[in-house]
Amino acid sequence: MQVQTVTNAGITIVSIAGEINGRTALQLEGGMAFWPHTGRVLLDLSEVSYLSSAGLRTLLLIHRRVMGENGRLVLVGVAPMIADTMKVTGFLRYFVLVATRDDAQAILGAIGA
Amino acid sequence: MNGRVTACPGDRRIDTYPTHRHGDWRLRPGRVFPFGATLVPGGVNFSIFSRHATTCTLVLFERGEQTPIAEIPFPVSFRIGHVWSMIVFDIEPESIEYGYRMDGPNDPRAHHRFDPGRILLDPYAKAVGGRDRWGETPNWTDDFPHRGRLVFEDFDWEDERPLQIPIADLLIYEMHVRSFTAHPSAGVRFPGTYAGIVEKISYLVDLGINCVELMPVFEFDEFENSRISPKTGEALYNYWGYGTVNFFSPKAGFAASGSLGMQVDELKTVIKELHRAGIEVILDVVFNHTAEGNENGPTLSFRGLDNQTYYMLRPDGSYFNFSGCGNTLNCNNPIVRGLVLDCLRYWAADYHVDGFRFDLASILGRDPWGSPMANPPLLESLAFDPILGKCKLIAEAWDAGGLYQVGSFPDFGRWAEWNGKYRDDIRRFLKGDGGVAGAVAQRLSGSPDLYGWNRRGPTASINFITCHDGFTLRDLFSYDSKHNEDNGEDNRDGSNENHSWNCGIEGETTDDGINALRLRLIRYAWVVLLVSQGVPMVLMGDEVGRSKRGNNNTYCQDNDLNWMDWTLVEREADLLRFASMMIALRKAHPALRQAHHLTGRHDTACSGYSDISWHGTRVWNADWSPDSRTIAFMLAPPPGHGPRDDFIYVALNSHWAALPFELPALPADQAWHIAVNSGMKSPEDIHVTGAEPRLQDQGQVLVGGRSAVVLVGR
Repeated sequence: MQVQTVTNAGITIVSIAGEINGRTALQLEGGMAFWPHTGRVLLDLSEVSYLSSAGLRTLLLIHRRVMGENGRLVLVGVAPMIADTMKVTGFLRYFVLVATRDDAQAILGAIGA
Repeated sequence: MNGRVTACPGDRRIDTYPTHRHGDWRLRPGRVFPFGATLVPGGVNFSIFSRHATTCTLVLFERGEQTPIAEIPFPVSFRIGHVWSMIVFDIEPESIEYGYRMDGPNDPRAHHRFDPGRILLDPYAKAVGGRDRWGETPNWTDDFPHRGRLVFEDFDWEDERPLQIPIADLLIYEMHVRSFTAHPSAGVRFPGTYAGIVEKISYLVDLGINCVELMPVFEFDEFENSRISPKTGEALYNYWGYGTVNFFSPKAGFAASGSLGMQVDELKTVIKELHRAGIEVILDVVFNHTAEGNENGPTLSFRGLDNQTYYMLRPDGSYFNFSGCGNTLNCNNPIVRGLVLDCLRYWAADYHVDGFRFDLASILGRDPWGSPMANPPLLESLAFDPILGKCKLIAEAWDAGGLYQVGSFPDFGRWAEWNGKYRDDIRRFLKGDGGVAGAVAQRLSGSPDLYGWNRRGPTASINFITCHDGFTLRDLFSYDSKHNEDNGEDNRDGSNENHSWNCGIEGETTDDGINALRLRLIRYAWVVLLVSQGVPMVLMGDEVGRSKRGNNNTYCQDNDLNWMDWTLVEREADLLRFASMMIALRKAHPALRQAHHLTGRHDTACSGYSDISWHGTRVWNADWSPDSRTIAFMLAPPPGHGPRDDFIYVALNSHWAALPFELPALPADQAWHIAVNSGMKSPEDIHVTGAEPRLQDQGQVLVGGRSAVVLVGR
């Protein structure tokens, strides 16, 4: 799993590539402390091939932490198979999923800094 | 990939550090409670009971691998009483599977069958791997076919909570998870799964039921069946799932996410969504036997952990077979009693399950030597348990060993029963048998002969005409006898006491008259069930006339004998309309679902009428003679604080010919209106509540042959 973080127009863009499983989920969670605190987080998962049970839980944890700081989180490019799993296991209801970064930036940009 | 991670920093108790080592695995003495494998800071707590084992070894696997990554013997000092417990650090929960080796005496005559060569499933495992995808051929050479897995017990229920619908108001829909949406016509994203149910919730809401009773969802092995289909030559399944491998784990193969090991989240999500739609969930639980069979069966778990504790055994070491399935769980052994109680508490607390239906529940009242007990401690424990305090407890009040306790199941003020006498008496009446009018009056009024003598009330009676065992409603009126050849036992399996009638031709026919008669009888049955005091239960598909082609024991059939055919929803739209409107009628009238038995004497509502009065074709003259095929009754509005209910009059005519029924007079300013006339064609067979047409002749009503009329007086 690789994670890249950049800030663009007041939005924290986190791009993840590879598998989010029981091991890498811990890395992802640990790395979150170093993300810029913009309160607006775009998580780009379009290069994520696999999301395990622990990975889903880490996404929810990230969501809760961002929400806890009155922020907003949007997921971009979730593969259909992964979205299916999120739906049947009840995780989907917590997240906003969009197809492209532009869609996500439109949502997050509209919130205001 | 070795199943381990470096411990991450975090809040630490001072007792969360390792104190022991085995190779490079770090350990410390565990906590005896809770049993099972529990995630704790830094590791996993393993705790397992065996009274007679001499040593115990924890065996860890990477998921799906054949060679263990570790075998860690429990140090002697880690055993307290008959429990071994140990914390193993640095385990990555998602990739691990675990089991135990137990050594001890192997002496069947002394009731011990220890075999350290076997790796055993933890009875308290919360998820089980090995049958992750339904019907996928297992690796038959796997020494450890059913493997314990670790689960995150962190489901977010948000504001959801169990519904606690009063049992008198319950309308139960008995269904099988896979059967509900496996048929291609279901049109769901994941056919035959827990998730599939969610896509059909609106159908259940429209039908009007408020409770689903799910046939077994505890982990079972669909391959636990050695028979071959005589038709296709393919292996038959243990399809229904009456053969538990593990009592704490949901069937993984029913989960769309089973291959990801997320069946726990998926089933909880379904229950949450059902509750949001106002539908309770009752689980059909099978505590009478396990999937290990008799002395020739596989050693998977209990047999190798402590055979003498878990099973009822004859003096020669063979297995008592009160279940008809090879072995009998030793339910009134205190250890097993604890297991059952822990299990039900877990499903009630962690899955928000609303109730349980106990398969062959009379076994739960037998002592370890098989004798029925007067006050079985297990049944008492369940009835008085604080966590189960609001759960519905329903007994199938018989077993395969000849114990039949309908009306006498030890109830401790809590237990309801599947009323087998209701099924039999009503079936006989519907098909036109004589000699049952008196018994049917009992069944219609909540079986006071069975449940009136010890204050149990009509809600002790789960009324049903059909259930998974036996014919569907359509087959009840399409077949004189069972046709189970597809089950591979030369039609010997299944009940011969069906009380069914084929209406003139055995099986499907193009004869319009016979098909019309069958539909008429199906509507008649729907009326009788829904106007009976007690708790009605309907079988999945009976609302659309589903057939199993005369097979009355489809336990092994993974095909359209069991699957709900959703094309029937359109093809039998009239019947579906009738069924859902009958359900609505019951919901609209508290008089039809009273919590206490009617007396026939009191003027409880000061209406000038007794709460129930019995009639026949002559008013005030019920015909209880052996030749009687007619029953009519009137319910006066029950007392209460809510909106005043109507008078209700029901006439049942099981005679082949139409008969006029004289009507009781109503108070001066009121008149009879026609709610139901089941002999009529749709849409005249049933009317919307509040829009029932006024009956022209208030003195009598003509009731068609094999039909029912329901009138409301207001």
